[in-house]
Amino acid sequence: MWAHEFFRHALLTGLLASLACGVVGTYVVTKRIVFLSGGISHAAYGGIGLACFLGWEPLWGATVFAVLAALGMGLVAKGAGQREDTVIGVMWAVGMAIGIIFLSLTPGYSADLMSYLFGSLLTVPKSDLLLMVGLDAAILVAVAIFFHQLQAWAFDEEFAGLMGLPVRALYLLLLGLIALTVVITIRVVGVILVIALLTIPSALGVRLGGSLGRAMVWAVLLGSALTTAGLCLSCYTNLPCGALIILLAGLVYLLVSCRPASATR
Amino acid sequence: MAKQTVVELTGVHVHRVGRNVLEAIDLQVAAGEFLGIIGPNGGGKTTLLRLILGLVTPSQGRVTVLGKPPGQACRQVGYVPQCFAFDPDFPIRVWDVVAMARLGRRDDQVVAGALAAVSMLSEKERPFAQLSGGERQRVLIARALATGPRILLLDEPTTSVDRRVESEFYQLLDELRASLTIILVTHDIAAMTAVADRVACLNRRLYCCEPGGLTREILEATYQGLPFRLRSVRSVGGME
Repeated sequence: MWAHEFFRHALLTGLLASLACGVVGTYVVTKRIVFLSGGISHAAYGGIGLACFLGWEPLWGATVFAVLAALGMGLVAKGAGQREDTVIGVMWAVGMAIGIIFLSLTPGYSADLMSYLFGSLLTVPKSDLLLMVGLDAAILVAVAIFFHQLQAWAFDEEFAGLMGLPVRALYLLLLGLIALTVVITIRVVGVILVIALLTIPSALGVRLGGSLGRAMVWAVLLGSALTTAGLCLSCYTNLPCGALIILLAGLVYLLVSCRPASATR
Repeated sequence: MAKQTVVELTGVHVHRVGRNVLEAIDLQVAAGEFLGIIGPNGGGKTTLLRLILGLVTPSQGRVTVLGKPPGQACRQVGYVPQCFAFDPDFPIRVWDVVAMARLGRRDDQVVAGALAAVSMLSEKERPFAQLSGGERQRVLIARALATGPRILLLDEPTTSVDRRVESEFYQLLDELRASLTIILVTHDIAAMTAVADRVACLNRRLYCCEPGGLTREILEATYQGLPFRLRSVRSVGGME
């Protein structure tokens, strides 16, 4: 399998997605904004549709839409006194609707719909891979710089504010990082299943790691193992790779969750 | 010589969603004073602390902390929130919780000193989630101390701890009072009156008295028929 370029690309894509999901997903899980992350991933579909319609690279469209949707959700939910879950629900659905409309208007379009909804790890072009490397680097640099600030904010937002931390800016920063992570992960499991790869390895990491840094390391390792295992299994069974990765992740989560918390720390 | 006033509320009203949370509050707290605040749930105790922290803006009246508006003085005010305000599964080490108070300053000696002050330095590598209720309270106090505060605010710190831990906690506060102004919100009237210099009875309106002057009539007027907790090592106004 290693001799095939498509497999090497797929493996690298899975590892890049696992890295971003493990790091950012740990904040998502500990800050309990899983639903918001789902909103961002589904809103990104609008960008994919628009990009296809305009003849641009779909992932570039997804990047712009995901970042704008994330910042929009954050600003409207925290700033305009709106109910956060309602805002997320609206942007979730509107993003999908925009994507479907533009894709239906795109001449000759049909096959890519499923690949962006459910992932297409085995057909990742080099251009997408380079974009993912850049986004991963941006995420890691941002988290390395703001790790302690984000940790303080995630643990106790009120105290972080009292210490003079810009809590609103940190919230928007995290939403931006989630948006970039979503874009990286779309190729692996698609917009529908992004939420699972973003949360399952991190939820396991939180159970296994006694600190935020260790939880991230665990999440990255578990995510990498799960995507690699799912990819290999997909090659042998000829079943959809994204769905296999999520099923494996769900199975491991179920097994770990059945054990008492004390046994996993 | 009169002690400096470090917290001053003058004619403070807080109005929220169709009801008055606090009405006509006048309060002065002197440097080095230990003020205990009691009152029923919903009586405005936490709101009063949040006014001092600058997290709540008064609808009417004026609040000054160390002679400044509360928002400008908050780095000199240590705050110990209610313990159940935290996600119990958050993966964070004891050291990292306390180091939050020194973000951007990288002052390990201060963090270690604050942990040592609450006898938790040996536990610095343990996950916060694995600590008992009493140990968590100690860590949160260490975090407040690490800010280098002149005023320490504590919001119902003994709610989830047993009697032994509670006793140790009041012993710790007794040690800290030598260098700090302490404002403690609690439901444990008797334990608080054993250590406080003054008691503030709060149920939208405020009434202050010496611990020895706290009578059952005052408590009944404050709690207005709601139950209050009188159990501790010392009797209050001959009520136990």
